[in-house]
Amino acid sequence: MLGLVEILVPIFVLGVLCAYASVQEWIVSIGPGNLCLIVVFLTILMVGQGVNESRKLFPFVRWSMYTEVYEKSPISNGKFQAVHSDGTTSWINPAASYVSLSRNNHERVLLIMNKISQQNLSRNVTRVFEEYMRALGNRYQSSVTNKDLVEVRAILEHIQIINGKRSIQHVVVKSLFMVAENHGPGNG
Amino acid sequence: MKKVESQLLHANAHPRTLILVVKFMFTMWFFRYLFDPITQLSELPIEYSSPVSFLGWLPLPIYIGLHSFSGLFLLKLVLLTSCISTWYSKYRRGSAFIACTSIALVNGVTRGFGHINHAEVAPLIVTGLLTLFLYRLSKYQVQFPSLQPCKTSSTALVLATLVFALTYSFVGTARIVHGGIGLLGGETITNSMIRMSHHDWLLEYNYSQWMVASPMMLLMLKLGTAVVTIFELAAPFCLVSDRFRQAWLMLMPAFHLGAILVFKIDFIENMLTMILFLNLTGWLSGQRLIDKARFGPIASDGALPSIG
Repeated sequence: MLGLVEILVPIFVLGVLCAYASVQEWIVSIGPGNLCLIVVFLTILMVGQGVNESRKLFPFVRWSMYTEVYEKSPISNGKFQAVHSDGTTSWINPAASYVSLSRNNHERVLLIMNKISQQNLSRNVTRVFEEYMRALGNRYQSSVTNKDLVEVRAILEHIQIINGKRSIQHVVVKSLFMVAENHGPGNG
Repeated sequence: MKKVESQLLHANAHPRTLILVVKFMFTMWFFRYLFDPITQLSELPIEYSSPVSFLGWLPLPIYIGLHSFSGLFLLKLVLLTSCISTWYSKYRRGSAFIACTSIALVNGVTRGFGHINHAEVAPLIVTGLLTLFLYRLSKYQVQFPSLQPCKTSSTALVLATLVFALTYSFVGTARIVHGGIGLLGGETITNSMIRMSHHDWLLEYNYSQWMVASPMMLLMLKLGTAVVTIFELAAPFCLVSDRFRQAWLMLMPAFHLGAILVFKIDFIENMLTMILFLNLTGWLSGQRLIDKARFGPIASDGALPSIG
């Protein structure tokens, strides 16, 4: 029902637009061929909005952002941590490692990490995610030459706001050991 | 009270306006992808990619080849070259088609490795629309665009602007229909801001702590969301109301900049595509962008003089 209302409101807006004399004059002037194209395009757009199969209908996706009431706490994020041979750790920024994915990788990573933590992920998909972590680790290692990377950790970051103060908890959901390569002189 | 006649934006568009917008859009895409290292994606396991719409129709060897280093390198090279070629009138139509296809492929590849986000999508649809209408113009009109109003140019620009505006309208509608008052009354906006500000992004900053610590800033965030949602829903009226369009063009870029700072979400291509909301036809024909002479001063009873 709400999906139908979602389509009807923009159609109503279009209807109000068509009530303007200038719009009506223009519609009459452009001819049936152009009018047909307009109707077809707008229909495709409406179908994309109503059907909610954004992956299949891309680029005619469903346009909805921040529509869900999101009261739950803590808030979670997926992060990656590098563990070096000297025991130190640092955060890996996947957005900086794979710049092309900087806008749209975090949701998928969070989804996968949540499923791993709930033990709700097939072995095959887990293996693929490990390969992703390995690629991330390799890219990280290529940018950090003074330390050897021995482990990449997938971490769920839980953020809670209590009395205006932020409390963060990290939970390791997956650990991947990398093969360390020696970078020093004289090593084969 | 005298009535003010509203004129439909781009109603008198001519081929030169259409070509200007086409060149602008493809220049935008050129710079968007010039430094984008998409060939790095060849390092990722192909199984990590979930095919997106048309990419799912490709035979597997071609799909794998597309995601290889040489495949992505070639794709980027074709994209950049064809975008630049749209500046040359002789090759404009073919270049636009190739560029548009390349841009769609790149967007498909990146979304295959991630989730279906909305950045770049509206500009991509607009670019596709404009490319389609280039083929409805004659070859001569594409090569030597005139300043004579024509139905095809007008339809192209009105439809592109309407489609672009409708994407905002859909967002605003969905937010009101599904979220409603609950979105603004509770902690949704705050929690969304905290979550988004903590995710990894190109630039490492985080203003959410500062925002959360200030009740005034949180209130402004919620009120701002409400105002922006209304403007999103009403976006198509930019086509018929100069004043609303002016207000929209002041608010929405500011909103997008705020979203970059607070939510780490950038819609830079959308901000640039707002060129569609400018009266380019009037500008190209020597008129001022905002024709104050047509409206004149507002009378004390609030009535506006009719257009002479």
